[in-house]
Amino acid sequence: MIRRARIALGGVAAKPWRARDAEAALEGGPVSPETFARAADMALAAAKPSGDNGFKIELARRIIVRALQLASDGTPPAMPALPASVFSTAPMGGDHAA
Amino acid sequence: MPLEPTSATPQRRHGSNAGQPLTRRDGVLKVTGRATYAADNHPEGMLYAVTAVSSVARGRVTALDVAAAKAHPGVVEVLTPSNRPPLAQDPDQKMGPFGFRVEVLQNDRVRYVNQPIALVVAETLEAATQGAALLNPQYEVEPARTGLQDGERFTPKAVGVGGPPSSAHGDLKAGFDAAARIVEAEYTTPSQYHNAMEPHAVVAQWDDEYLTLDMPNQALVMSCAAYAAYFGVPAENVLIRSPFLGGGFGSKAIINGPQLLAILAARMLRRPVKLVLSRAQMYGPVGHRGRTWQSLRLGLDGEGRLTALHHRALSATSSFDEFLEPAANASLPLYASPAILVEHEGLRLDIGTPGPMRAPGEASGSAALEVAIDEAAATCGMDPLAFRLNNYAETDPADGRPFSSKALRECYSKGAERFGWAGRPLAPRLMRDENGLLVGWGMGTAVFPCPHFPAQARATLRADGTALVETAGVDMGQGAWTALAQIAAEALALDPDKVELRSGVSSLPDGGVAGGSGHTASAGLALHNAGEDAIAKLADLAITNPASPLFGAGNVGVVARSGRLHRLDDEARSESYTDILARSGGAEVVGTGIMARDEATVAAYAMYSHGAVFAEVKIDPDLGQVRVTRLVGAFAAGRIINPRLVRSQYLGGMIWGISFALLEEAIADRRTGRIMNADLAEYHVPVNADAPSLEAILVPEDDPYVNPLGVKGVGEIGVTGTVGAIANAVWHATGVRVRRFPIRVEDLLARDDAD
Repeated sequence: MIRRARIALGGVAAKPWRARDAEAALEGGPVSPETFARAADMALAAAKPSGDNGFKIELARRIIVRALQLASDGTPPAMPALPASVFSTAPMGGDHAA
Repeated sequence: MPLEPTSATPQRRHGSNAGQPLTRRDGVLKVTGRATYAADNHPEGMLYAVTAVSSVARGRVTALDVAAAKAHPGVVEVLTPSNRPPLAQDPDQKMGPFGFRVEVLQNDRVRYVNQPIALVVAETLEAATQGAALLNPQYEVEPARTGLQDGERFTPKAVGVGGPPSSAHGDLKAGFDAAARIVEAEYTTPSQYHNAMEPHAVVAQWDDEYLTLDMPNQALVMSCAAYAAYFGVPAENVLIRSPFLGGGFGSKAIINGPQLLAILAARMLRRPVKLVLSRAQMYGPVGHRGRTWQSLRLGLDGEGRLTALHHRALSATSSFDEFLEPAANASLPLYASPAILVEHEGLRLDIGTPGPMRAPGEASGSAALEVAIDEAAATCGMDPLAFRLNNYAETDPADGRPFSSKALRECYSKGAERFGWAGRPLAPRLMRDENGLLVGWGMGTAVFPCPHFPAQARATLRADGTALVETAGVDMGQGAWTALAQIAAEALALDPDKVELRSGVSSLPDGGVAGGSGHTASAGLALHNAGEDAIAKLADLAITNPASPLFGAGNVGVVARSGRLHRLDDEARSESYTDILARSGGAEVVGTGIMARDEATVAAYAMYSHGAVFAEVKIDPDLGQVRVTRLVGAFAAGRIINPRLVRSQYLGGMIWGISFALLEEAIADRRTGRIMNADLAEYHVPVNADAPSLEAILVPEDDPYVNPLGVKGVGEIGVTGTVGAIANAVWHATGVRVRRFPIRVEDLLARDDAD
């Protein structure tokens, strides 16, 4: 079960913001792809594109789902090459080897 | 990242110092901070200049608050169109093959963002910067023309540096009529900026009618002539010192307005003046790679052979000058087609004039061509390598001339073997890695011509057995000091340690232009000939002197080896350089040489460097993030003078290809024409993490025709082929054919999972 959730988005609009409705919706819910997708939809429900940035709405939705997946998986043994990436290349430091 | 040579270190050749992977002569100076770049010079009494630049793309400057700027403490002078001293050469006229119309406060017109509209000179950089800010320019603004929708199209007289705007051979219509399939697509490439680490800088000093310039410069002697013309002094009165360049990539071969203004200010104020452009100010007056809109149409017969190839390019230039990215010409030398037509059109926009930027035309044209070839292979259901071999050009496709050498087949096979190309599935989106990432493999062919530039050199054999060799060449970081010294040392039959190279100063014999990937061949050939001339003169001293063991060897000849001359017919009879010179009174022997080739041979052969690049990408299926995980390039460029430096050139070119394919783009605001990412935070270039595994294979190639050294160019070819290889790998990973560079996350997000 999700006890607490915090979602902040940056780089997709004029200023960063917290997705408080989505956070609230997550809390108390089960850890599942469906819960994550619902929260992501909620976080972007009011988003409006301007000009060429329409893709960022769908990208943000997918990144929220990915971030929630990563958060629920716990600290990875290796740091991904990009924050939202599943590329695992550089060890986190310390001995995480099983 | 496997940066070490993948092949074994070459054997030390007897009698030759070339071919060895020597480290850079200037390397220690650079890594210890002792290499002085232009902006490191601070002559006594030096003033600082800062350009005030336009923030609008088109219009007129209606007011400048010169009084406010002049009132600022430390400000010495403000140059504007109303007080700018005259020039002896009209800046609106283009001079020479690399001449551009320059913006030097001719009038109040504004033609692009970042155009200089005033120059503030002060006792400190801070005062000059503040003075420029206080000018508070007012404009009469006209609408900016920023793209296809509002630019003015025109038919160009030339593309690139004096290249033909169109070329045709064969019957295009018949070729398309005979085609079983036709592949047709449009491709775009963005504005790219050179972004050399070292900004354009100059320290200008006048001594009466003599001008000394410390500035990074890719064409020393040619630039002296241009500055002499602008300032009405003899060319020999202008001295340019350019020992080190922090990158040039074409942008430092060209005279630009801000630097001319700084030199003018130094003359006007009778004090040395330094000007260093800020990063943002480099987006405008110092050239860039212009945008292109390209279309390719390929006719194919039932066996996957080209029947016709039509490549058109619309290339952007400024409203007031022309440099058109000669992109379509990339389709001339590579694939066998009975009919080829390449055409260019120009588009005038309110931008600074584009210029040559690493592989101008070759890079942008190759990007489109190699993707089109991949599309054609897919249409024919053929492996992209098999398709390329199926359309391999045995002679120059454009005019039927034989190639001076072409080891492209070996490049294909060696690159494919090293990469592990065999077994690649034909269809896209079939490969995944252990983390579920999409994996794709793509390839491209690399090709680059072999231009040569006039060059001169001098070689002096000294009494102590060492030599001094001189040419006004340019080390832009590519290692010219090292490679040129190796060539000279070989001609002089001396160890490179015994050869001092003087270069990078315009008072030396003209070393030509460091451009077109032709510097090693051009300046190197001049040095080689100077060395041979010096040896011949030394031999004359020996064979005409009865006291020498070589006396009378004139008929049989002598050979130089390791600082000694030997009789050809009896190598036991020999004499050292030092002994010969000592007997002649300790005099030095001076030889001279020029870049000289057999012109009939040059005309008879098509001359190109070739290569094959193989790319692997991994892509996050949900987020569209692309990583180039492997790049293998195999290149054949004639004789390799220094494999370490050449490998670096190839790797650098391939990294530039990653940059082109996935990162670089200057984005102009469509409303104002202002570049929104004119800084290195937002104008993306690759970092190490973007290039995890790179490998360059040096494919042996002997070229008896290109020049007496057998040397071809290696500097720019790495960009070509690589861009297409990455784009094709992206398609192979995702099934999405992206025809707009750079390839963006959003291009790969939109995909519906249904094929």
